[in-house]
Amino acid sequence: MRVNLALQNIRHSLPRTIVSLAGIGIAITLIFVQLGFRGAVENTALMIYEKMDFDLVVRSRDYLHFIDSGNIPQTALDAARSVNGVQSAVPFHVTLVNWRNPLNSDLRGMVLMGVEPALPTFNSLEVSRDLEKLTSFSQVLVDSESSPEFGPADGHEFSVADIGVQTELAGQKVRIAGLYRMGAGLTANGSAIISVDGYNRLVPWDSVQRPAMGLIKVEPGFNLNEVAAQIIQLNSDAQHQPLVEVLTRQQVLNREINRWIGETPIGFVFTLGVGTAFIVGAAIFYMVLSNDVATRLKEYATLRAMGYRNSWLAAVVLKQAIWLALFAFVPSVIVSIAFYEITSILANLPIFMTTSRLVFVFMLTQLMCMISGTLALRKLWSAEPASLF
Amino acid sequence: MSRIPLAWKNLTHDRRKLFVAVSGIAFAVLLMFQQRGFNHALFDSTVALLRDLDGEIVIFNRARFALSSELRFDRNVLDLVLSDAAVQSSAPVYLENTVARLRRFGTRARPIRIIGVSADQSPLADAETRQKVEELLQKPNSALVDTRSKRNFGFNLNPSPGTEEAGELAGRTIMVVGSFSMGRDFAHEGNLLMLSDELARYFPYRAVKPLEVVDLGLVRLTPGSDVQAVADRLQTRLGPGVSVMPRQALIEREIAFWARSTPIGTIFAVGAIMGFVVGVVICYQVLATDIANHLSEFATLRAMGYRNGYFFRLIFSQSVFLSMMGFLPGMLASWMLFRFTSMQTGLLMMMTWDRALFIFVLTFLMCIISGAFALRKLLSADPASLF
Repeated sequence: MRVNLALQNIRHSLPRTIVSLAGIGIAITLIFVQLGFRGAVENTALMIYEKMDFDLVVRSRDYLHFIDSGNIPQTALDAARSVNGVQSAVPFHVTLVNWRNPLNSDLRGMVLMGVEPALPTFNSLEVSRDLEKLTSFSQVLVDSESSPEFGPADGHEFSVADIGVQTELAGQKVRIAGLYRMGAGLTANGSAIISVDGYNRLVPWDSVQRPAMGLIKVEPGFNLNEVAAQIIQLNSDAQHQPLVEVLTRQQVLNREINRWIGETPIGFVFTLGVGTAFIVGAAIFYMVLSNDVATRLKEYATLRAMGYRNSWLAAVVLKQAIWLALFAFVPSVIVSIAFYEITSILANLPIFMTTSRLVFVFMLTQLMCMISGTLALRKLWSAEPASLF
Repeated sequence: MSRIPLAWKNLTHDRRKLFVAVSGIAFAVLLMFQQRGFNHALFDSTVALLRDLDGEIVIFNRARFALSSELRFDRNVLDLVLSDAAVQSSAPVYLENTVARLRRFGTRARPIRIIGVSADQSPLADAETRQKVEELLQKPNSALVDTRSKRNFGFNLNPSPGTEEAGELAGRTIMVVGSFSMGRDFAHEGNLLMLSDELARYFPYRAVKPLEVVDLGLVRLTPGSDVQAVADRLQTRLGPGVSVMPRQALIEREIAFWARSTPIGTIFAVGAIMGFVVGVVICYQVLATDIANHLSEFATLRAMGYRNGYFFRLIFSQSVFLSMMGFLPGMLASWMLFRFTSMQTGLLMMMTWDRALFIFVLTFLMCIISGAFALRKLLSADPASLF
């Protein structure tokens, strides 16, 4: 009868197995946690753009980030509309202004977006459902996901109770006319939407003639890159130098992620966090597995002396490593998901589990276990049966 | 009978195992240092400006909720405070960030924070920097660049004396003639230090008279004054339009603002706790293996009549040795990591004695806790069942 030694080893001393599982599980959780934080920075970068409705965006060559985007001439949008295949070109204004907390009069920086209420700017009903309520230039919509620092009536989040509340935005009186749900992540702790007319009153230096960007919808069947090239061509100077940049949705998202991860200190810090988690994780894996081999060294040596091949013993240790990794993975995922949930509530961060992260960490775990298992095997090869007794 | 240092011998008799154990603890130490270090760095950096200024008291617009929000106050407030007996001098600091754009010719303009000070009433604490600012008087349209500014401004951030680099600030030519050191933070990618008269020329739209609105007022007191009492007195005198605060209190308020409005604090606290747990696990693995390997020896000792207290002291000493041996390389590795991060991000990564001590206490606790777990295993060793 064949004995499945790997599984027997695991079952044989349950307390020891549990300790090993705890070690590996904590290493996996550590990796999930750090990847989650880094992912939250990426999600943050994309939060606003993902809810905007566009196939191509026309923006300034001086664009730095969402609230420091530079301006384009309104005429660039007129030119874009003349391109074959362009369905619509909608102006979009955005800047950072001070919002006065209606409860305690404190000022806080808030993202202000100026849009044409009748034109398609957002792709999500959660954002656009109250846009039609913007009928006067002093009315604004506020994001319910804004931080409590902005002074919602219930002290928690902006809700129907806040509709009609009057306060100051950029030093001018405004009234809350409606709500939307978006979240601005790390960019700012809150946002508001106003009509282009209202925007022009609050931010006169950023005049209507110079929106921050233009959102282009392209008719089905047209090649985005070709349309983009034509828009750029129409917006070039006499030396054929482009005056604006035109990007596809994917390019915009990629650039935003690159900026947050590659250019901000926060991105760097979290990338480094992920790096250390991998190293520490691998170290724990190795310690657990080499301990396991060490405690069974006598048995393995005996088996070797009995004539079992090295390859058979290696298979046992590796199988055991794989089983341990498998058993530790499931509870770690549960703990990590719970952890993501708690953090997203406590820190108000867009942090959640993704399938690709699950798959990635799973593969990584298996790989680490196999490498550590192989390293631990060196101990076994050096085990001289005679010297053990 | 000479006592045998069993704890030490147990740990050190197998060099390779010791190496694995120590590096495991060192990793945990590194993890805790790193997470705490990031946390401190992000906060230390935001108050670098306040820290580098001289003066016990700071005056600012009451509504200015963070240093980066550009809410200003009237300059004559700084003359008003001079009539107080405890006040020695006052100096204005002018800041520009939202409209300040710096570019090296041929590159994209990037936002930078402009710090404007006057040479005769300098609020800067560092004598060498004060000297450099005075030398700016000789060269019109010149400024000093922060060595920790982001590299993609394209400037040589460590210019050797006598070299000048031209750039464009707010649409006008600027010569970068030297450097100083401050640090980047959440809100600013770099700093440029110039004379306030120059700042007024580059940013004429600050106000009708650009230098009549001040961002921060630094007040120096006569030695021996009660800072809080003077601040309270000035506050009453100046009314509710401005806030008067001891500089130290403002530094704490600024950190509290960023701690509250960003999830940074939560994130790094979680990271440090993970480091601690990892440390407990690693340390436990080390001690537990050691016990497992010597179970028959321990059982023999117990059978010989050694008391539980002996084993308790044994494991305790082993934990202490481990924590000390793991801490030193861990701290060294962290120090190198701090240097690297600081170079890459321009953040201030400072390893201070109290922070290092805090991590050491955590390391110590971590090893003691795992020692306690490991001890249970040892005490369950029944001599009879072993043979």
